[in-house]
Amino acid sequence: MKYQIRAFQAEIIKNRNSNMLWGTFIAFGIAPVIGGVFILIIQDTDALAKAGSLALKANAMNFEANWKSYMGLLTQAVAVGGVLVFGFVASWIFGREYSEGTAKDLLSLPTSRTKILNAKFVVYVLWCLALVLSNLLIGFLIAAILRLPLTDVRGIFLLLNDYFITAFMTIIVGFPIALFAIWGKGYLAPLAFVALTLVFSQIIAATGYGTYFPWSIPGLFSGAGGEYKKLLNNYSYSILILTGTMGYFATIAYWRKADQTK
Amino acid sequence: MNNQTTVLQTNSLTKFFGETKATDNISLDVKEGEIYGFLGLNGAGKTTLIRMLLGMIKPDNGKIMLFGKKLDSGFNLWNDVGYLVETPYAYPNLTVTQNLKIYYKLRGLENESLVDSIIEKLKLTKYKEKKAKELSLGNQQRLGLAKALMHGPKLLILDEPINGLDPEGIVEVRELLKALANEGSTIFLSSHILGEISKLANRICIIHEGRIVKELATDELTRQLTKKLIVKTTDNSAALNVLTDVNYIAELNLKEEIEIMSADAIANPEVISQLLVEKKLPPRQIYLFIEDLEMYFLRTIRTKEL
Repeated sequence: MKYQIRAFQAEIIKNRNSNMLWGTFIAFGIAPVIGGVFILIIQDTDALAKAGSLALKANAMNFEANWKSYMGLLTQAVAVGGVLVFGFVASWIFGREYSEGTAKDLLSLPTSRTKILNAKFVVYVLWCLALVLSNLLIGFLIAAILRLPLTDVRGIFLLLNDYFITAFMTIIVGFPIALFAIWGKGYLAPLAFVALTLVFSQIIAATGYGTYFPWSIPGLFSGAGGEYKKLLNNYSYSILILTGTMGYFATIAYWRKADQTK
Repeated sequence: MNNQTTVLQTNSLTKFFGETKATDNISLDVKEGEIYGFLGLNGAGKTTLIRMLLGMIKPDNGKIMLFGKKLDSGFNLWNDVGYLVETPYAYPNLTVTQNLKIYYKLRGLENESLVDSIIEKLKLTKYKEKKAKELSLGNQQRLGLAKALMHGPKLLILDEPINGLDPEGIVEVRELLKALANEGSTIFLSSHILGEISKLANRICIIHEGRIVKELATDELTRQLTKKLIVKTTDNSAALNVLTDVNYIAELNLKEEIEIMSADAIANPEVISQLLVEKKLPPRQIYLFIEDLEMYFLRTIRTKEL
C-alpha cells in the first residue's frame, strides 16, 4: 500500500501545477454560464426579443427558467461535453509520459507499473469529479444570483441523482482512452479515439442503437436524446461497465507486457 | 577481479524487431565495483540491450541475471539500480526539485535530505527552483544523472551519460563515476565515444550489428593499438632498402614516408636513427605513431564485417 500511496502522491505533484488542470475547468465551466445566459434571456422579455439566435436556441431546447431545465442542461453538458473534456483529461494524464519522454523513467522502479497506472486512474476519476462538482457549484451560484425559484427540493435531489449518475457513466467510458494513450505513445491516438467516439455516439444514437453503444449511453441517460432514456436497459448498463472494466485491464496488461522502446 | 561477485550477467541475449536482429547472442558479465564500457555505433544495439537489462524490452531468447536474481516480472531489486536511458527528459513544467521528488516518492525513499544532497552533488543548487524546460542541455543531463543516483544504487546503467555536457561537466561526471566505483558501485555505461569510455572503464565491450565483436580490459586495449615508427629521410626509397635488408618490416605509405612495424624498432628508435646515419641517409624526421582509439574501434568493426 505504501508504494500505491507514493505513486498517487507523485501523480499529484505532476498534475497540480499543470496548465491543463485550469484549462479543463474553464472549458467545462462554459455550460453553466450558457445556462445562466438562457435563464437571463428567458426571465427578461426585452432581452428575449433582442437575443436573436440565443433565444431561438433556448426555445428549441424547450428551456425554461427553472431548476429542472437548468439541471437538465448541466447533466447533458456532463454527458456530451464530458466525453470530450474527460477524454482530454485522460489523454493528458496517460499520454504525457510519452510526449514528455518520461515514460522510460517509470518502468524500472520499486513501484510497479500497475500501481503507477492505478494512481493515474485515480487522478483521472478525481479530476473529472472535481470538474463535475465545480460545474455544479458554478450552476448553484448562477442560480442564486438569478434567483431561480426553489419550489421543489425533492425534485432537485432527483435531478442531482441523474447528474451524478451521468457523470460516473461518462467517467467510466473514458477508461479505454488510457489504452490508446499508452499504445499510441502520446496524445494523438487517444484524442483521435475521443473524436471518433463523439462522432459515432451521435450517429449511432440517431440510428436508434445508442442504447448498446457505450459512448452514447451517458448522453441518452442525461435526457439529451429525449424519450430514448427509457430504452436504456440492464444490457446498456452492463455494456458500459464492461467497456470501462476492459479498458482498465487492457491498459494494465498492455503496459506490463509490451516492449517499451520509447 | 575474477573472485568478485557478478552483479550483471546476460546469457545468449537475442532480440528481434520484426525481421531485424537488434541483439544477437549477447553474453557478458560485469563484476562488483567494475566500470564496464559498452561501445558501438548508433544503431549497433546498445540501447536495446540497456532496455533489456532494465526490463523494458523482453528478450526473444536468453536470460538476464541482476545481483544473482533472474530478471522477470517478479524482480524487485530496482532500488539497487539507477539508470539513464538515451536523452534524459524531465517534466518540463516542474522544477528540478519537484522532478526529483517524483522519483523520491516512486522509489519509496524515506530520507528527504536525499533530494537536496543529490542536487548539491550534481551542482544543480542554483537551478533547483527552475523549471526543467528552462535548463540547458548540460543541466538536463545532470538532472537525469541526479534521478539515477539519488537513491545510492549498487548498479548504475547509463546510456551515453556525457551527452550534452561541456568539457568541465564531462570531467565532473567522469570523476563522480570513478568515485562511485571506488565506493563499490558497479557501472555499466554505453557510449559511441571510445576515447571517453577508455578514460573510465576497466573493461570495454565493442558491439556491432547486435553482436559482440571484442571484449577486453582497458590496459589490454593500449597494447592492441597499432604502433608504427614513421621515418623521413632525403631518399626514402634507398632508406627502405637499407631497413628491409636488415630484416625490419617496413613499407612506404601513401605520403611516401617509411612506416616501420617491427617491435624492436618501435622499442628502440635510436637504433634506426644510427643505422640510417651510418648509411649516409640521416633521418629528417622520426616519430612514433600510435593509432587513436577511434581508428582502433573502426578497424575492429570493419575486420568483423570482412
